[in-house]
Amino acid sequence: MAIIVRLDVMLAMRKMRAKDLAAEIGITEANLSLLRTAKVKGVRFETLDAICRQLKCQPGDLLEFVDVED
Amino acid sequence: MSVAAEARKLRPWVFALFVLAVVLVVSEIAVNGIAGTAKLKALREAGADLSLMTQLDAFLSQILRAAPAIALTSALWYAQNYLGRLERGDLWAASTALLVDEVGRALTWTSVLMLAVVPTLGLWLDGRGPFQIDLEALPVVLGGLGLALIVVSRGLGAALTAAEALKSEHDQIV
Repeated sequence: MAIIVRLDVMLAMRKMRAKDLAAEIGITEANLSLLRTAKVKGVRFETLDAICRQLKCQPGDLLEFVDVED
Repeated sequence: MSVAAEARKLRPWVFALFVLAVVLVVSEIAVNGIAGTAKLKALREAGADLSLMTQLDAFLSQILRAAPAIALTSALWYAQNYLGRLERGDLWAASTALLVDEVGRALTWTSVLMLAVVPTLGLWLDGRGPFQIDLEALPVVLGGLGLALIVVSRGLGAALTAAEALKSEHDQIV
């Protein structure tokens, strides 16, 4: 998988804890942790929208495509 | 009304029918047994020579005649088990679909017993003829329903397996 999740970076930049973000956007800490470590198969637009709204950023700030061979 | 609530409402009735069926089957065997014993006793008193085999034949024919009813009663048992699973909310478990298969099998066995096994074994016990099929509407309909239920349960099982895979994938999307 060549998609890198930059959620940790955005959380650090906004000085926000993952626990608080999870509470704000209404998903479990466990699911947010899975998302931060890119151990999920997908992200709902609804979740992406809530994260972007909360962290005041763009989807591209959270996800990065790196062109690497599998 | 939810499936679980409907199952909760229906299950006691199916269980009561099962108990009633068991009581009827057992009482029929007992009544026929008593009648058979009385008949054998009368024959013995009349001077007939009754071997152990004759008495055993009489007993076996009682059991044989009750076999279709026993198989049909087992269908009720599986049906009430199925409703029990629905009541517990196991609607989407593959093992629940297997119980529908069991109901279908029980109906099919009832049909086979009524159509061929009981008449043929009855002939064997009486020492007359090799094979007999009693082609009647009831066992044919029961067999058809049984086979249909088996096919339905296979379809249901495949759908549940696909649903489980979809759910697993869905759970990995946050």
